[in-house]
Amino acid sequence: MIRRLVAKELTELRRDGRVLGSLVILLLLGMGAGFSAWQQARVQHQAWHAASDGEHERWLGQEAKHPHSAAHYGVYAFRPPGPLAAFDPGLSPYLPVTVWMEAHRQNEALYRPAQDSGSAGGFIPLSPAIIVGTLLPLLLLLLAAPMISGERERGTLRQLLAQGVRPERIVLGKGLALAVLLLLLLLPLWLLAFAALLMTGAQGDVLLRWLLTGLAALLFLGGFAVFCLLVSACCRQTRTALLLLLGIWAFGTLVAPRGVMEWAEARHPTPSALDFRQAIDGGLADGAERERRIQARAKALLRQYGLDDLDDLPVNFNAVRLQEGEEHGNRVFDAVFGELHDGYLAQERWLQGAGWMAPFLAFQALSSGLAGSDLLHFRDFVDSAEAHRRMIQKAMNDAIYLQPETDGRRYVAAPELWATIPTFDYRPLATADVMAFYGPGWTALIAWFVVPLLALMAVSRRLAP
Amino acid sequence: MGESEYLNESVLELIGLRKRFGDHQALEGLDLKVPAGSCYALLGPNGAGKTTTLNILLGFIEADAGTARVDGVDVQANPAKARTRIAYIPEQVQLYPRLSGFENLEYFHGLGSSEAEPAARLRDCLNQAGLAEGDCDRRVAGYSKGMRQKVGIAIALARRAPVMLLDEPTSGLDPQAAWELNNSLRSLAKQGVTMLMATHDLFRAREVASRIGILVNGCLQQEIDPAEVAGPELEARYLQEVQQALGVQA
Repeated sequence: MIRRLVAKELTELRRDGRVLGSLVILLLLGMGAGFSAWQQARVQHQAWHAASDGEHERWLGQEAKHPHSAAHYGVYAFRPPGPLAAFDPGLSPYLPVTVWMEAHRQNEALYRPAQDSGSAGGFIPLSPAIIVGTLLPLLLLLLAAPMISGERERGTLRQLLAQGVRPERIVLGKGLALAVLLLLLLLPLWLLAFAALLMTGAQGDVLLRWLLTGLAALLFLGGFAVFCLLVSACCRQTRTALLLLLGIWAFGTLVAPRGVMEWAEARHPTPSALDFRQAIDGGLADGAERERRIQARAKALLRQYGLDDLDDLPVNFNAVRLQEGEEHGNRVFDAVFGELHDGYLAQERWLQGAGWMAPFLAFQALSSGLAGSDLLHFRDFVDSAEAHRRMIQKAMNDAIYLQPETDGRRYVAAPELWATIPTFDYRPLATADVMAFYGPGWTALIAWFVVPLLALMAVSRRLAP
Repeated sequence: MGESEYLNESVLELIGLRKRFGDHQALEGLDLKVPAGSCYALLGPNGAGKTTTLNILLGFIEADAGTARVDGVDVQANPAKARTRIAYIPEQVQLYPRLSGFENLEYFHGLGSSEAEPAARLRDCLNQAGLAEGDCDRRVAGYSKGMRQKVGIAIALARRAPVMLLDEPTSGLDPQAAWELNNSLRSLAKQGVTMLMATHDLFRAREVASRIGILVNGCLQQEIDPAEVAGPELEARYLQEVQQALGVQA
């Protein structure tokens, strides 16, 4: 019986030229968006490889010099595109891609790709994630709204029930027909994007991330389809169901994201650029603690070697001063940058939490999180770059430490020292860490699937003509 | 059980059926019995309670009081089981416009029956209902109201249920199709199918029914054996009952 119900629904949809046209348009859009995103990701990967390799070559190409000069010579860290950025560019175009790593200072990341996109930057990019998140629900809504209310309005529901068909079976048939249609639409997009990802040589546990992205999309779209059927089952007229669902769709995809973002910013404010810089400058200027530590290190070293004068030490005490200066700066940067990034992540969590209100927000957060194009990955990149910067400074200072400057001669390191510094090779977060951060988003999506499903089951048992 | 005993047994039984919608008393203690293999025509003006009676029998609405039994099954207690005993022809048969008449029949019949029916038998039902062979495989979107009604009749015929409920079945049918329907109904009655037909059509009721009940304001005012009255007399008695019950001056 269920097979008959599903087959009839699919036959009707197939014979409806409007539905077929919409599906073809959506499929073409999806393929176009997928191809464009793949091209973009490929170009970004190539640019990232070229920039990273070039930068390391530049570092290795330094002549013999004092290691602290090399530390000031500095090096750029480049943020690679996220593992699934071809599917969901997320915040990537609006987040900086480089960090200048040099002695004494953690610099803010620079250069947002959106700055280079000219007037095209004003348009929302039509990524596969946008199609899945906004256009597919719209199509589902148009298909599902008349499914039960239309049967009731036409009078066919009355005839079906009079035939002795159990109402929950009718609803199940409708739901399965939608599910088949959804899979027919999603699978080609999903496989196409996966092939594109493999071709771009994306790094990280891409397969697991992609499976989870598929699961998130299924939960989101499945939940939305069930919700549409629920509204359709409760409305006497298709027009009412359609208007109600269109309103909910518009609120969820157009109004809620903006409103919730402003709400999140008000709830978890981040410091202004001026306050941020003042906090760093103020922290760095307060050197009392640094001086106390330097004095303590000096006393300890003099005691260790049984000497009275720092100039007589068999090590270079300037390296200690430099490293203590770095450590002092690091504490300031950890506090000030930490506060800024914690604020951004708190806003991100707030957005996920709002997924209870609008599942699109939860899907968007999960999709960009799994794509590696979100704030969580950006912070991880910034932290990784900063760890790399500190490693360089430590290596340079350690090299200085072992070379006491006697007779006023300054130590000059051979270029071999530069080769001891590895390339900055950013690896995206482990999927388990991403999943842990996006727990509220998953919970919201699962709730959006389960609650309407339970409600639909209850309503369908009492479905009246 | 002997055949005569079976024929006397009531397959459709309504006892003290009451139903109120807000201020309107739709049924006021309706008692009705339809023996097996007979056709009962329920005549009455709009709002008399004919469709409410059918809706209660179909389990779509619950009666406030009273009992309704279909083939021995209490409708209130087990509406799903009762529906398996019923074939139903609504006043306006609604079909899926993108499916052909045959596909609609196949779909409705397939859902309502656990046994697969050969396509040839389903086509026979369409022919028996009066749908031309050439129209069976055309999409219903191009059908007239009468053609849709014929598919509805075919759906009911294919169901082979012991009870048939008909709500204004000849509505929208041309005289030829209405005549064919009446023949089909008479044939079904001979096969033992019990029918309850709500109608305004006195002429058709007299032609096909073995008993006629005049329902006004939810009460059965009079039961008539159509064999005992001529057409004009039936009309006169009907109008008299209606006008009396509604307090209208003749």
